[in-house]
Formats: sequence, C-alpha cells, structure tokens
Amino acid sequence: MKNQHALKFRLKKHWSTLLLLLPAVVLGVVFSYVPMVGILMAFKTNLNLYIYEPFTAFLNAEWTLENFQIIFAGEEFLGVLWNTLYISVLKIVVLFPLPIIVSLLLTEVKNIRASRMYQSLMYLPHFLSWSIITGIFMSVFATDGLVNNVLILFGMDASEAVNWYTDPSKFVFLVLFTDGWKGIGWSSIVYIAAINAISPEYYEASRLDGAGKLSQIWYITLPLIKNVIVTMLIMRICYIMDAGFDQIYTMHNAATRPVWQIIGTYIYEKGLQQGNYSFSTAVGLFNSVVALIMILVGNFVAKKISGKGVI
Amino acid sequence: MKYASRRSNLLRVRKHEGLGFSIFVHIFMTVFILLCVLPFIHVIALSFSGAGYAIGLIPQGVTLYSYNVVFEDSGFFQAFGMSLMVAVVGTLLSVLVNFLAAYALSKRDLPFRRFFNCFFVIIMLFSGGIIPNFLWYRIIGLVDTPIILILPMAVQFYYIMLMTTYLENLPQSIEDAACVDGAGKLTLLWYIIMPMAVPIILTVALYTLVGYWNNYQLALYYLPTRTEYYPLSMFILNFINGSAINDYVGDIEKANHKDNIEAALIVLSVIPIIISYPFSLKYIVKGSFVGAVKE
Amino acid sequence: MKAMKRIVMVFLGILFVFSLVACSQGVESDPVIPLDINTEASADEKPTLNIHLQASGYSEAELNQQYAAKVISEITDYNVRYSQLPATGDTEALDLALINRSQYHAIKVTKEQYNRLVAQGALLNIKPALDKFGQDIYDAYYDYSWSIVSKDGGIYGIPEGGPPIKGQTNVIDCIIFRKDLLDSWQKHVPETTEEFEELLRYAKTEQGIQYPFVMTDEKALVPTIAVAFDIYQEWQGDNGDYHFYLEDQNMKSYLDYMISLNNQGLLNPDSLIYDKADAVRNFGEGKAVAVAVSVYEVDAILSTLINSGIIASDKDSEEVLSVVGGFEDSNGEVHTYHTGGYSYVTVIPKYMYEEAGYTIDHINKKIIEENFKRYYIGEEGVHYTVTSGPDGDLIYRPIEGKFDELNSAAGFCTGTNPKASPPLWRCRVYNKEYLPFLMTLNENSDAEGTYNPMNFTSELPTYDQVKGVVEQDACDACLNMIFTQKSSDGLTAALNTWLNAGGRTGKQELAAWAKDNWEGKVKVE
Repeated sequence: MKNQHALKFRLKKHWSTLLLLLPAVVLGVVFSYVPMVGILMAFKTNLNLYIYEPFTAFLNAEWTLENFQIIFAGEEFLGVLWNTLYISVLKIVVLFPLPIIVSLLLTEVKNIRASRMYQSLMYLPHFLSWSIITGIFMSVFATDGLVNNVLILFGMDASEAVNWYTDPSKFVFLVLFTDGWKGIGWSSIVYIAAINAISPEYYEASRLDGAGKLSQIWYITLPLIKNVIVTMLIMRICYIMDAGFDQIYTMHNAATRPVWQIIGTYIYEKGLQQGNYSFSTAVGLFNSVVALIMILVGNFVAKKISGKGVI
Repeated sequence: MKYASRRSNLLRVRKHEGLGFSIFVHIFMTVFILLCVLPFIHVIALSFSGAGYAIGLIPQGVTLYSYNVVFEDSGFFQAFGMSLMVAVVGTLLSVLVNFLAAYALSKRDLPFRRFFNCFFVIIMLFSGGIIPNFLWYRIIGLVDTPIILILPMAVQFYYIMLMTTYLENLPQSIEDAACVDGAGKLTLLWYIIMPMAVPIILTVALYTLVGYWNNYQLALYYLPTRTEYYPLSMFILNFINGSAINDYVGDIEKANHKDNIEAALIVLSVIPIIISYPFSLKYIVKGSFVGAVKE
Repeated sequence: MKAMKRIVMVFLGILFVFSLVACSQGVESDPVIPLDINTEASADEKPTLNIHLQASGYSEAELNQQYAAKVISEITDYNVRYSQLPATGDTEALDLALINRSQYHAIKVTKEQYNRLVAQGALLNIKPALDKFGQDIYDAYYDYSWSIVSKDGGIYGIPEGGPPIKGQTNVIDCIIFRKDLLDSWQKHVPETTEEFEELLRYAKTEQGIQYPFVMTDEKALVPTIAVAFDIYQEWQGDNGDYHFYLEDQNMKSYLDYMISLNNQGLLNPDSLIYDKADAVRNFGEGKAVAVAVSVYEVDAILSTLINSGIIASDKDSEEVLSVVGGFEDSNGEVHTYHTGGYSYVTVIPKYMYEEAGYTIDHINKKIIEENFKRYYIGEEGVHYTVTSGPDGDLIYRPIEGKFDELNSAAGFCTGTNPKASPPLWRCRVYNKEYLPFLMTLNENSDAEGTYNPMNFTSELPTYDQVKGVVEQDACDACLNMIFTQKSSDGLTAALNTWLNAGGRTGKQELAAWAKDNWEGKVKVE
C-alpha cells in the first residue's frame, strides 16, 4: 500500500521529467536494442550471408555451442584471457590514479597564465594515432636508442642494453608507459572540472585552521570529488576486457606474442579476418557478460564505501 | 595580540610551505608538459620534411610536398567538411540527449530510476555485432547516409553518468528556491541548472566532439558505397595505408613520403581541436555557481 | 522492472525477425547469365559499370580522374565508375558490401579473399560469358592460369599475377650489400654463407659497425641464406609428397646458423620489430653493411643514403649497391626463391549476373593487346617510344616527364595480359632504380628455380581457413628461436604445433591437389 502511494505520487511529480529521458531511450532502443537480437548468431554455425538473405541464412544455419566450446575448452583462450586481464588490471591500478594526481597538482598552480598553458598542451598526445606513437617510441626505446644510451651514461654496460620491445616483461612496461603518456592529460580534464567546482570557502576555512597543502588535498579536495572518481573507476572497470586493441595491434611483434595476445587481437585474427562472424560474436558475448559482472561487483563495492553506486 | 602574532606566524609558515610546494609543482608540470609536447613537435617537423631523413625536432630537407599531396586530392576537403558537420551536429545532439537523461536520472526519487540505469548500462555492454547492426540499419534505410555517422553513438552512458554525478552534487536548495519563486520545469532547467552544470557539460562536449572527430568505424562499416560521406578519419586511414600499395609500379615518391604525409594529415586533423579546446577551457576552469547560496 | 524490460526486448526481437521476412530472396543455384545482349551499342545505351578496386591511396573522386580510367572508358566504349575497398578493414568492408548486395559489376579481390568467397559460393560462374564474349581473355592467358580459378568445371574469376615462366622477373628476395664499402675494404661480395659470416665479422671487429646485418620480421626464412641449406621454398617436394620448411631436415642447421650470427652480435636484434621501412632506414643511415629485403626497396635505400649524406646524389647506383639472390648450396649451386603466383583475382558477385555479359565484354576489350597498351603505357610518341631490340623484339621506353600520369594504371587492371605484358611492364619500371638489380637477379637465377605450390592452388578447403594464422605462428616461432631464445631446441615443439593446428591436413590437401595440377605443369612455357 505504502509503496503504491509513493509510486503514484512520484509519477505525478516527475511525469515531465520522465519525458526528458525519451530521446535517449528511443535512440537506445532503435540503435542498440533491436540489433542486439544478433547475439543469437553466437549460437549458430555455417552462417552463409552471401547467398541467402539474413532470415533464411539464419534459419538454415545450425544451432550449436561449438563457438563456446572453442572458447572454454581451448587452452589458447585461457592464456589470451589471462593476458587481457593482466594488462587491463595493471593499467587500472597504475594508470588510473595518475590523472587525478596531475589534476590536483595542476589546480595548485597559482599563476593563471602558466596554468592555462599547461592545460592547453597536456592533452596533445591524445591526438596522435597509435601508429605514430609506436613509430616515435620505437626509436626512443630501441636497443641503440635514446633510453638505452642514457642508461649507459649512468653506468650500465653496453652489452646489457635493455630490449624494451622484445623482452616480454619490458614490453608490458612499454604498453603501460605509452598508454599513460597518451591518456593522462586528456583524462585529467574531467577531474580539473570537478576540482574547480569546489567552493573556495572550504579552503579558506581550512587555512584559518592552519591546514597545510597536503591536508587540504586529503581532507577537502579528495572527498569532494570522490563521487566523480568512483564513477570514473566503475566505468573504467567496465572496459576491463578491452586491454587496448588499437595500441597492442600496432605494437605487437613476434617475440612478445605470448604476452600481448589479448582478446581483441584474438577475435580479430580468428574471427573477423576469416569472416567467422559467429565466432567473434560469441567472444563478444563472453566479454559483455564479464563486463556486466564487473560492473555489478563494482557497483556493490561502491555502495558499501560511499553509499551510492552507479546503478 | 596573541592571536595576531600567531596568525602572522602561521602566514609565514604557510608562505614557505607554499613556496616549496609551488616549485615542486612547476618542475613536475614542466617535465610532464615537455614529455607531451616534444613528440608533437617531432610530428610537425616530420610533416615539413623530405623523405628518408632522420628527423629530430627540426625539419630536414624542408618541403611542402606532403601538404601539397594532401591538398591536391579533392577528397581531403570534402572529408574535412564532412567531419566538421558530423562533429558539430553530433556533439550538439549527443550532449543534449545525454544531458536531459542525466538530469532526469539525477532525481533520486524518479520512478523506475533503477530500470533506466540498467537500460543504459546494457546498451554500453552488449552489442549484436557489426553484421546485425548493419542489417538492421539497412532495413531502416540509414546505411549509406550521413545520419548513420551520428546517431548510433549519440547515447553514451559514460557521459550520462558523469553528468548525473555532478548534478547530484548540486545543492537541492537552489532548485527549491527557484520553484518557490514560481519557475516552470523548463525555465528551471535552462536558466538555472544548465548554467551551474557548464563545466561538466563542456567537458562532456569536448570528449564527445573528439569522439566524433576520431571515429572511423561507423564510416568503415556503414558506408559501403557512398564514400563521399567519408569523414576525415576514414580518409586519413585510406590515404596512408593505400599509398603504400602504389609502391612498386605506382607513385614511388608518394610511397617514400608515407610517414611525412601521415604526419601532415595528423597536424591538419588536430587543428580544429586545438582551436576549440582553449575556448572551452575558459569555461571549464571558471567554476560553478555552487557557492551562491548560503547553507 | 527487469521483467518489463525483458518483455520489451522479446517483443522487439520478434518485430525484427518478422521484418526480415519481407526481404527473403536468395540466389542459391547458378543463375543464368543473359547472353543475347548487344555489346556493340554505344556507351550510353549500355549499363554504367561499377568496378570496385583495391585501395589506391587516392580518394574516389581522384581515382576516377586518373588518365587510365578515362582511356579505358574510351577504348572499351563503356561508362565506368570506379570505387575502391578501404585500405584497412578491407575484409570486413568486402563482406559487408556483398551482404549489402552492393551493385558492383566486378570486384578486384586478393587471393585469400577469393578463396574464402568461392568456398562460400558467393561468386558467379563466368564461364558461359567468357565462352561467348571473352575469347581475347582466353587468348591472353596461358592455359595454366585458369586452373587457379576453376572449380567444378566453372570459372569463377580472372586471375592477375604471373604463372611461373622461366626468365620472368620472379626473383625479388635478396640481400643488398654496400658495394662501395666492400670495395674500400677490398672485400668481394660473398657467395657462400661462410664468406658472408666472415664479412660480417670483419665489419664488426675491424670497421666498428655494431650490427652489420639487419633483416625484418616479415620472414624467418631469409631466402638468400635458406637456399644455402637446400631450403628452396617454404613448401617444396614432388611426387605427391610436399613438406613445409619446419619439417625440412636442414631447418635446424639454418636456425643454428642464424642464432650463431645473433650470438656474435652480427645480426641486429631489433630486426625482430623492424618492418621493411625501418630496415631500410637502418641500412641507409650506414648502420649496416647488408640488409635482407626485396629488391624493390633499392629506390628507398638510395634516397635514404643520399639524405644521410653518405653518398653523393649522382653516384651510380651500381657502384654503391650489390644484390645477391642466393648463396651456394650443398652442391655449390645457386638456386633462388621464385615468387610468382596470383595476387589478385577479378570476380563478379553472384547477384550481379544480369549484366555480367557486359562486364565480361568490357574486360575482354580491355585485355586486347593494343587496348591494354593504351592504358598500361599510354600512346606511342606521347608517353613512350618503341625501338627494335637486338633479338628482334620490341623495346619500350618511357618519355621523361610525360609518363607520370600513368603511374596509377596498374591499379586499374582487372586481369592483365600475361602474354603481352612483360616488355610493357619493363617500360613502366624503366626509371626505377631497382630495375638493373632486378634484371641481374633474374638473369643470374637458375632458369627453373623453385616455386611455392601453395601460391598456385585453387582452394584447399580446410587449410585455407587457417593457413594465414598457422603459417604466421610458425614464422613467429622461428623468429623467437633466433632472437629471443637463441636456441633451436624449440623447433620440434613448433613443428608439432603447426601440424596439429592444421598443417597435417594442409599437407594432405596440397598433395592431392598437386598430383593433378602441379606436377610437370610448372615450367611449361
């Protein structure tokens, strides 16, 4: 009884607000939900779309769990999955805090002109395509490149030159470094906006109480942008299955194959490049389910910590 | 007296503390900025150079060859215009749609709120794949039209969430005060909520703009025959990788300059972003009107 | 709430499925091509042909402005509109175009794409049209060429690329040396693997070049070196028994040799991440004495050498560089890797059968030698000159400055004229720096040479699906052994992986095909 009243009351109060959701919902239904039926393709094999029209092709193809057998029974896939998670989790743990730190530092810059200049320049790496970035860093991290030469200056033996690109363990470092370099400036924009929204009164008050910079950051800034951080984190976790296809596909080479083969490249080679769409749909479905689980978990944890979550 | 001297002591300590911190921040930022900017200068230098040189930060064999090659192809300007149109229209539309949804979702007592959240989350996570999308868009007649470059990526839960979080943090009191003053729902939205949300709206607008500007997948898959609708990102992809094909019996000079041409295209395609960013930066940094109401 | 959402989804799903019923027309069996058409009508009375080419680097508008495009329309009397596949994602784009029933009269696809499409039945059997309208096409090709595009008595495409013919320009893999450096050290160009190793050692210890030999990650088998170990091709054999290079008895020796080069610091360890452009740059900056790339890279190498200031711009290329196709094998003979095989096939989608007659007629007119010449090398006296050579054959030479507008012509070929094209091709590449080196490689190469039967097969039903991936994995495994593990112990494991991933079936299918189609037919012409 009580719930019904509340619902009716809320409907009456918010009916016009619900209308505001209409455009997004319509677009969502038309462009995303309707074609979602295609996920069923994952359960079919021998789909021949060249000869038959879609409906007949779909009916003619056989129902099968073959694609999922390949996924779950193949040892290959487990290694690929492990790589994906390894790289993704590393990226989150190492790279996620960095834009926050940068934005905290940047908003502490008193000189407006300097601050404006820093902000205008730091997003530039985001716009370089991965092929150019790889090209640049390849010469920097080459066996006889800049980084190794600097290390030699610091006393490293010349024959010990680090093989950044061909040593699997160093390769992961390169992946993190280039991704961080590309994304920090860009990702920090959102945090800068959030920090700037904090009323200066809080800082005034704390200064009168004798708080130093670090205290201010820890007790004022961070708690007040906590919601933004949590949201960004949950969103980031959603993409955990995408460990960076564009980047890794450009950077890959034979030596580090055991390390870099991620789900994205795996689908690309086994699925799309051979026109095996039902297989790539199956792997995509697997990815989506994992991401859904991650977001539910993340949401749950977020609610426990800060009292509210995304869903 | 005691209080005054204590305060001045504090001021002195704070000043020194502030100075050390300030220096640290400036050094850090300078190093960071250099790291960001130097490779970009390298790319610019590359675009003005001839082929086969080892380029550092200064162009060698200075030539406008790369830019000439790009400008001579009439497809470049067409693609550039297309990208501009898609990016501007797409951003306006997308930000509007997302913002309205975000505002609605920021109302904690909205009926079916959890349902709608789930609705959008599922869109973000699940997809039928290229073929079902393609077949469906073909049925509704949008394949091979410019519209298909805009609508499929208009709704982004990521941005909706960002804006919702921000809006939830705005004090309810302002809204209540406006309602008491007799503001209608639309007035409320347009004149009060939106100006307060300008920093996040502009942030999202910037992200959306860049998303549209860089996207090539929509053109690659859903414009099978009408290549006059190709945006710049797709044009660049074809130009660079295709020129390598002209290698052996075709235009060898163009193939030799492949890296330089790619650099020129990158420089050209970044220009609109570089223009629009400082402009929006001003408003992002300006801050909001949150402190306007006494609690 | 969730229940409501589920209901909505199901409802929409049903809606979608029903809407698909509206368009359920398939083209299943072999459609009949209408053959009683008037091919002599004027261009405007005949349909405008849409021809889909491979990516060219031009935008579509530019593509249709090219000289070759205009001339072709003129000489065949057809209006033609050219479009192209994108440079990346071309497989998906091609698939989507076919699923979309895009109205392309002809598409130029790669051999891998052809194999897949013909296995799925997506292509039109053009034999009836060829019999009626394509007599000149039949005449222009050698008999052998058709086996690759034949299936069950029908013909499903027009191949492009060369069949194996002795004396043709089929040797392109080589090791390029800095002849000027060798001359100044008074060393001769090596002819055996021992001499090669000695030269590299000399360059490193006496001349201080840190890594004198650089290669790329394209192939683990460097052809010039592999032939010295009697590995003349990636697939070789006869009498119905073919083996892959991983299985070859000398593979371990080859790997050990490369590993030893690496251990002595003679081989650039970054070769593993170098593509041909990087290797060219490395060599062109003077950091290496020998580079293993194809002879086509000579132009880029020379321009890099000039820009690095290592040689003067007017230096004769043959004083600076020297190419070696192969080192001596166990019998002291030099056999070389021959490429050859078909790179492209021009196909017609099945659903375009109604106007296929016009398409074939158009391609036929294009291929007649006089017409072919007109778009391939242009007009005599305007674009090229022709003289009589010492053997009585004709020699074509481009006219400087005028030939540039023909640079893109090769992309417009939908089928070449293999019988007529070699001297014409030589005209097209006359101003390329690599030409004399290419000629050297081929004149010195053994007449018969070795070809890779894999490049000539029509289709191997199972192996074709996995070939790209498993052969790449095999190559990667060998590269790893050479550069990372520095030991050939992993060879057996790599071989087993390859066998289990499809190699075993591949061998069987290849042997079955080769029995009827390859043996004795290779060196015919």
